[in-house]
Amino acid sequence: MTSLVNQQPHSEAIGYSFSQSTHAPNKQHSFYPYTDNGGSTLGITGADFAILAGDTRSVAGYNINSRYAPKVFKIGGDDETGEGAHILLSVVGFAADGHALKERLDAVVKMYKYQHGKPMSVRACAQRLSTILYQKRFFPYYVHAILAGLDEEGTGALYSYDPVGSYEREQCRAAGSAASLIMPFLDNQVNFKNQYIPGSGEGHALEPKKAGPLPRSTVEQLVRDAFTSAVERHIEVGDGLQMMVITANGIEEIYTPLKQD
Amino acid sequence: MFIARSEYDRGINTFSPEGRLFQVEYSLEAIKLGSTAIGVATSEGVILGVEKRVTSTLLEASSVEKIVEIDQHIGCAMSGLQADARNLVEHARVESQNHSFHYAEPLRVESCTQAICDLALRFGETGDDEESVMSRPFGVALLIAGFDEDGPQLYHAEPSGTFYRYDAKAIGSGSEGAQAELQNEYHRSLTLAEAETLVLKTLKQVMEEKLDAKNVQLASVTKEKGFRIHNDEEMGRAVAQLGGNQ
Repeated sequence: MTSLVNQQPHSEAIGYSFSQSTHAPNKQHSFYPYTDNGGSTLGITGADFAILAGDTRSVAGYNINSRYAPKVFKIGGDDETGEGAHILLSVVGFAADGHALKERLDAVVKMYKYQHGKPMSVRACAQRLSTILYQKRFFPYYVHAILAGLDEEGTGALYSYDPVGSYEREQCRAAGSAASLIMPFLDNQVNFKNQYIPGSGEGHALEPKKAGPLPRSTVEQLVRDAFTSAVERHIEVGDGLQMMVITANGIEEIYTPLKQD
Repeated sequence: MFIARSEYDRGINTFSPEGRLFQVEYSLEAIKLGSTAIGVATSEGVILGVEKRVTSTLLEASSVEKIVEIDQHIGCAMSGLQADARNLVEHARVESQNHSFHYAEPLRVESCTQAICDLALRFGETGDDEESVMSRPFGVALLIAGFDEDGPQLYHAEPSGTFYRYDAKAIGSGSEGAQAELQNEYHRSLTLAEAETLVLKTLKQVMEEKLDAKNVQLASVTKEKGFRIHNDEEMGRAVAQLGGNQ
């Protein structure tokens, strides 16, 4: 997605739609309504919890707009603090679209509760988010969204989306500018890809290590490690790590600082 | 009596000085002219039954449709102006399909009933941006039966836009007698088969014609099979069994 956003008509631009030269003899008017605000998000599920995390830096080109611009939101809470919410949404890409999408989904989830007299299930919310995104198929919300919560059985549920609403339930997903750095790490550490049981056999007989739900402490540490590593290798990621953990007891928010360079 | 009302029974959205909406009250009268419809809810499912009023031997009985499907898990029986019911049913079907499209889950029975009642009240002068709907209240009442996460449920929806949940309810011309019968016979441990017999027995008491397999229609909503209209064979068996019991 980064490469798509960066294909802008003017080379000196740093991501603002209004920066263009005024002294050209034949002025070409253009309107580019999207900005890439960088950053990364990450979600991992466990047997009875789901974690959704994101860095808090917001950038435009080489500039830093903010060192604390959250990307993870509580959906359908009772007040502005999000108290009583049981669904999490993370959005990364164009921050304004992400914010608009979050506000819209939040309103939909609240209206659902009034109209049907029950809280919306994560599965229902996942389908609704997909239709919201697809309704703007020809002027999309320029974001990678990840939705998290607990399913009917109480196990962690995670749904990831492309900007036009294609979605899939997964065990883990990284999105945003450092997704290509974090995702292979998760493949190896969460789904145990390329990990084999030592001494189980020779060559093709070597048994792959079986993946299963990880304990919460392990997952939290994986998230921290993923982000500290991403900060080292990607300039758009940093400043702070916002983690939201959803369990049967509610949502816990954990903030830890990241490098500011 | 009608002379006293003449000032206020024309404008559909005009209150009389006593605080009544006459056109809405008249629409309730239209239902009392309709054929009897009965619904009975049990812990196993809901049974709907209607009398068909086959007015001529030349009339094809199967063309009288007074029980219709709204979705796989919701159905309804009607009494009153059948053509009006089609509007309401169509609206409910669209609502139900929209819900499963957007939320990947079936619409709740109460939400479906609420959607029908929302439309029932949308009559009278339409606003500038509103598409015109009905110029008068709907002349039909519905018994909405369905199954969702809260189990089997039966609702009664009126043209006034109000709805209530019932264990057992009768509407239409024979509703008074039928409701009294249901009041006596209903109990919480009723099985689905017993409810079917109760519906038929009650219909038999209030119908003018002699009850047979052609002039009544039954339907059921259960967890396993959803909404199902009884076919001719099942109707024949149910009516024969009723005759054997008495």
